Amino acid sequence: MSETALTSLTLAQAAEGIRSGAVSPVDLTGAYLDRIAALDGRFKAFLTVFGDQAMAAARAAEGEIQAGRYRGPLHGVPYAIKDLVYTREGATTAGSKVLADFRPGFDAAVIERLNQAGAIALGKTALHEFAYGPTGVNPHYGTPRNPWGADRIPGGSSSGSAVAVSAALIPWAIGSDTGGSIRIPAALCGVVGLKPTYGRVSRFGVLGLSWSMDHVGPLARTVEDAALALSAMAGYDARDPASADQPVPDFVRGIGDVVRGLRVGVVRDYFFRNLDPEVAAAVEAAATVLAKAGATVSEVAFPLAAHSSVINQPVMLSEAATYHQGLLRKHWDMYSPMVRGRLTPGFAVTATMYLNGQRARALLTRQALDLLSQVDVLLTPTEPVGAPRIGDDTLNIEGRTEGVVNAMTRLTRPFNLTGLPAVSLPCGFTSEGLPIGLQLAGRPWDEATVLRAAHAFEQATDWHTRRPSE
Amino acid sequence: MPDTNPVGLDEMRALLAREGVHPADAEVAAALPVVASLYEGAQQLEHLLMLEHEPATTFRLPDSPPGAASQ
Repeated sequence: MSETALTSLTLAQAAEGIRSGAVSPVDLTGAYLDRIAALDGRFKAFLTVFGDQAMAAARAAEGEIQAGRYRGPLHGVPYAIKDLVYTREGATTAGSKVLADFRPGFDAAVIERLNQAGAIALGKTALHEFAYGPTGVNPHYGTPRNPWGADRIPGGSSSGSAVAVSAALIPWAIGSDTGGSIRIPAALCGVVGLKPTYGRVSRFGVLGLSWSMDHVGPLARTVEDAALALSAMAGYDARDPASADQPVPDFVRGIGDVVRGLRVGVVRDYFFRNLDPEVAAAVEAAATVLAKAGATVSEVAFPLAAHSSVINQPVMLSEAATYHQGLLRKHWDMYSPMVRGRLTPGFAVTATMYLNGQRARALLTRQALDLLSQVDVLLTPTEPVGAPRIGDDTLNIEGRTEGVVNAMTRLTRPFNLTGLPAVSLPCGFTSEGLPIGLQLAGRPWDEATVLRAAHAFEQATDWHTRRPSE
Repeated sequence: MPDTNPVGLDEMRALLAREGVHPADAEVAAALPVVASLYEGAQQLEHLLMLEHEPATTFRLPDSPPGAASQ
């Protein structure tokens, strides 16, 4: 099989090829390393590439599989790691100068799980500095290039992971999501991004941002691939206080079941305001696709979602300022002015502001759970527009000027505040050729239903098969 | 953003100094509109929570002992 053919395989296809003996983990890993060497100078998706270690791991995986010790679908398949996840090998920079030489010397819990699954870590991906921003613009290491438009932001904070998947430099990658940092770059780069339920994937050994809203999850080319990755990543871990002792199902099993009778709630009241009309049309069309597949589609109201930014502000500002307090005191000048500017106001949050933010989160969550007793999944756009231009601080959407940071996070944030599982998947393109993301969210611990709805949409359309030109 | 800042430049500088960080005046000034929106948002939250009578907590014990679900 040619290198182009190997790097065109989805995770599921590569896994089946490895299981059957048609694909060699060594060839697959080598093909991706060659592709990264050839193209990543342009895409800037990777901060570190584990060339020799990855090839050694691939050879070990191949030997195990040939000896009959096949571990499962991730065995021998390469993946990439957002560079705020601790790894035994190399530095973990968090996209910052402050931690440029930080070597934790141990693997995060999620890496331990992927090692057990036999997955091949190919490298560490770029991100917004300390994951504190939704654009992916990074003044220290360069901004990963959105494969759909070199002058467009990739989205963040998991920018390198999304670009690497979109440009076929890797089959799938780990991201993290505090206000949308998996789903935003997934939507803007035209790939699938899954934020699981809060507590589903351990954050032990993952640099935090706002710990009551931090999640870890996968970015991939297809919904099935995201399900495969999550099945290996998820599980209880006592070292993360938020980790939940919930059974972990095989998220792929049942993903192809019919969606006839599945109740889909379209949330128009907040999520369809101030949208690019092309985005609104694509997401409305997605609801029609699910209806044609047999789902029962209705409109539902989620009025408290309109308060998400106000609820989020004291929680995120103060948790981020608290997390960074020590480093900020010592290394003020090493932070970019952009991130310092987002951290500084956090010191002005009072205890009553923070606690009222947390109380309001409880109200928001209760309303979301009430909705999810009436429908099985909520359907919204992921982003109000296609990827904005690099350097733009504001957007004009339908005659209304809005800051880019607020625009990028306002539709994803409600599901960080509520901790509900949410996926973004491609559902069309703007007339400028920029990807549009569809967001589906569901009940706590019910990623399976969210993935089933997403998979049904994906199977009925071909948006996920579109690839950017090289 | 609101027109008036409930926290002024000197107060914000002093607050940050107490936390051990000492930004230049321009950066302290740049934080003021965000702080102002924080206070405005806090009023909105108070209004939102006015009819909320249930006890709220950010602390809770686990639903089940560790390992119970996997046994």
